[in-house]
Amino acid sequence: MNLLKKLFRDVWEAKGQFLAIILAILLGSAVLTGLSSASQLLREYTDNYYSEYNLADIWMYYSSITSEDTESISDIEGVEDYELRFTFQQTLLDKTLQVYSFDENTKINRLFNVDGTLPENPFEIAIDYEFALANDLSLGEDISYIVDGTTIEYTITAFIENPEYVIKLPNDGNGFPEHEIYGVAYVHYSTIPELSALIGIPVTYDEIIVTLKEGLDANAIIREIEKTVPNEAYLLGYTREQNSGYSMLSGDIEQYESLGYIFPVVFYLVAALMTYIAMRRIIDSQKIQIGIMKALGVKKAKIMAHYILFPVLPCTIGSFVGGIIGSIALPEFLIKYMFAETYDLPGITTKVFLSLVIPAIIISTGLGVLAAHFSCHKTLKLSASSAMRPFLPKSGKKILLERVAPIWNNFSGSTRIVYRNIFCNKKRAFMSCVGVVGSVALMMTAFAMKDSTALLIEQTYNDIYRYDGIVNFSYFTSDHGNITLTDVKSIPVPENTEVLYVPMLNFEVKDENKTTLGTVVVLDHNSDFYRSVDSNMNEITIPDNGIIISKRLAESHGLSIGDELEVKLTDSNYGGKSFTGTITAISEQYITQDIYCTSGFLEQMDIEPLALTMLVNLRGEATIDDIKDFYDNEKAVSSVVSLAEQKESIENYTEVMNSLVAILVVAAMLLSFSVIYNISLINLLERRTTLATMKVLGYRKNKIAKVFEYENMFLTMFGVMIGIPLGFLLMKAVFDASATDEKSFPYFISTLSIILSCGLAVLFTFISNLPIRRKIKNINMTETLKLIE
Amino acid sequence: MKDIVQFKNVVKDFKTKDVLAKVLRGVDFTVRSGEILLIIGSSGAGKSTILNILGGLESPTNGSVIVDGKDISKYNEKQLSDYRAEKVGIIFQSYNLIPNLTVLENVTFGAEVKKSTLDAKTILGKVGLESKYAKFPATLSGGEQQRVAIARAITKNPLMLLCDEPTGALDYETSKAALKLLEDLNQEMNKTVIIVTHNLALAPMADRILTVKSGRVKEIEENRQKVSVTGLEW
Repeated sequence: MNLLKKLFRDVWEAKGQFLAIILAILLGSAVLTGLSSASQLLREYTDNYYSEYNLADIWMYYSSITSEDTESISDIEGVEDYELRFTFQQTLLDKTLQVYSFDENTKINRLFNVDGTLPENPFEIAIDYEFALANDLSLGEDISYIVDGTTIEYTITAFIENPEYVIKLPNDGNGFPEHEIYGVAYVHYSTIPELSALIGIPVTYDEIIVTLKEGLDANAIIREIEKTVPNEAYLLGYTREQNSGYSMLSGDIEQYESLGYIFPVVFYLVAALMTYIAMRRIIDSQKIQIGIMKALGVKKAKIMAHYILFPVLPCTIGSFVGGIIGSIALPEFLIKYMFAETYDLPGITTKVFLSLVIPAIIISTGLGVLAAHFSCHKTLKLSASSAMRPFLPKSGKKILLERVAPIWNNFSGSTRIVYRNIFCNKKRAFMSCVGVVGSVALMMTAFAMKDSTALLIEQTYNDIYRYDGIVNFSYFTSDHGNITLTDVKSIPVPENTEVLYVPMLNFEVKDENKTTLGTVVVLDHNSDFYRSVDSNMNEITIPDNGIIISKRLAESHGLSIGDELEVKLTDSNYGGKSFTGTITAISEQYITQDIYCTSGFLEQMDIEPLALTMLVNLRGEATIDDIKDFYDNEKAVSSVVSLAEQKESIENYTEVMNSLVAILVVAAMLLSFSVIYNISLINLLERRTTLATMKVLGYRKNKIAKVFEYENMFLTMFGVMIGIPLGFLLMKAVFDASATDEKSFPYFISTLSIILSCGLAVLFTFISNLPIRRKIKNINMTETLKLIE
Repeated sequence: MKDIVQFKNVVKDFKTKDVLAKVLRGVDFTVRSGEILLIIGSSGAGKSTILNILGGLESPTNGSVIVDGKDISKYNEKQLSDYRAEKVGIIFQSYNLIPNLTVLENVTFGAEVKKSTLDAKTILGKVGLESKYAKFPATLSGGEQQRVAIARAITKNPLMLLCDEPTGALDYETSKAALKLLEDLNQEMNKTVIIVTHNLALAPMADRILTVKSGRVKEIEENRQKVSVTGLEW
């Protein structure tokens, strides 16, 4: 009981240190529980969403297919259910809607009704909620679209979401959703015959969606279906893992899980060392008391328990409070601001997983126990009598620097004190740096996230895509059957533009583990429009005897230069042809999975690439809106894409990321502050007599404070020097954890950001030094100096 | 001999939460240049408080303290720092050397705050420590450490040396040597030395003896038959 009272008194006396430990543990625990809660929450939500709305396991596309063709699918073992759909794209200039048919009997990829009533009649349409929001559409509104030159009018009856579209990426986009120009819609099946009558297209299904029984290899089932269903119309088939929404979302959840481990390690490590230092100081100052307790017959275990409580208390309190804060605030922030920006997760709500606070409490408490054990086991081993003997002050020692006489001899006494302090207690000095090392590394990582995205945007839009817009032509019919480049070129081109006709063919690349969908970009010569660059940003010439693949494609399939790659074309006008090419170079680009080759190369492979894409560079006063206006009534043009708008959508996404950067910087700042303040406090306590002596000798308060500040600054500088390389390592670890098949982040941090991280660390040291001056002022000279312990 | 210090009705109260301790209740005395003044009295009589006020470590609650023609009783913190740097050399019972500085550095460190000082090595020679310049305090005996503290105080070349129980932590022989050193410095360099002690046996070495009782000066006695420390026994 008395020991407990003593504990509370000890805590009160060391309240600054106590609070600093709480703060560091709190930060680590908040990040740990916050990120694990967020990923847990997303996992639970997506599992539930996918099963409740019955997300398909397989999507297969055919140029046309009938229900008779597919009857045998239900005989394939493992297939639970399948449905046929009618799919088409509808375009209103640069806005594209991917439309699917559905009806009351649809069981696979069911619609999540956000608002309104699902379509029941022809020409009623359900539109994805985000598209409706971005385009200011309302329920009951009529929208008209042009299909092959005929205007078709739909009535919006519902806003919906669908588990097959948790992210909606335009085909010719950049890997980020652009709700304003690309959306998904579902029409009642009864629309299809009427639509057919209007525009004269055949009513045939072109898609099969399949659900499987649990735990089956979807790729094997695809091969089974390929065999069962008439093959000549087959275009491509893919599994959930190639559904961009499904794979990106699970990739991002995994990323949060791994970040949830990387960041807390930094916080916990710093907190543990700080706790150890604080404990050492307390044990050293209470050496005699420990001796007295021993002499009075208090059991070693009881003394140990008493001292263990000191670090365990702040660690437990910090982890509990941090865990609660983290599990409430972080998922709220991450899901509402980060995930909602990219993914469409209807009806997601945040909740608190109290159970996830427990690991944080266990880890923190464990760290507290370890810190206490290592700091006091030596003293506790001493016999009562030797423990009661006062602590002999550590004698000064000559340090290496003194050998450099010209430097050393010019040092004043106070400077010498600083250097001997640092170099005679190297271990302590090193540990004091840890806080700075940690915060510099954290800040560098945070800033690097920002810089890297900026580089990615800069590189993509300045070095690779060197055009202002894309005009996509639909596969129109001509008088003489199959269209040729001449037909495409006969479509007028607006004034004040330079154009380049580029075939862009959709492809599928498969290995045992993975199927990747991407675009073959056919470029006959290096041009002002499109460049491939190597890792030094030098242009790569596209060869006639091989292919260049993008870095993401190479990494996701483990491909390197010299490998042969089989590429299957999935556009209907190439009839499912494949070609094999030798990889001659890898293009350094962080988004999209592209393949580059020349038309000459494809011709050798017996493929006639047709350019249905025209890259546009604006000249003079032309704007992208002029191009859009120019093609407003051109039925052969399916869409006009503005690169500037694409770039903007990425930039919006990075703004959200910047808020995460801000959170990390604040956390690093608090961490750094708590450590430096704590170390300064301990220093102050340990050197009270030196400080009091300086005061007696007539040193002014500011001069004494400078000795302290100098020492802290020196340690900060040292910490910064270690922190920079560690920052690079942490940045790489975080970026590697963040990379997905679709995008990766270049290892890049600007010099300015490095300087800023270091500068902020120095600033934090400066700020945490401020309260020290007041403490120095309050040192009572007479009391301190007469007290001989 | 001219007066270098004048205490005029000096009052010092210590206030804690619920207790008001009147430590000095109106103290008047002067210190003459070049003398050895012994302040004696029982524990709690206020003798250390007098020394602390004189040393610029504390300010009086009331009254004035004129040192070298200036009233230090109303000095602010910064002025007191400068006063301590310029005018006084203080020696405590605990030697308060800086553990991370060598003997020589400790001495010069004390002098760094002041413009005109004495040569540290000469003074260390005088206190008999010329062979220990480069040693760290922890490797010295208590007597040696006290001599370093005295050398540090004297190297500043202060107006006066203030010693608070300077021999409290030393054994008989070492104490005698330290006191002898103070006596020599007083005679050779004509330094004013003020010693606070409870040891009445030291009285014969002083020029004057100031007895403090319950916060007041009981008497100031002129010592006509001064005896060197070497001749004293206790």
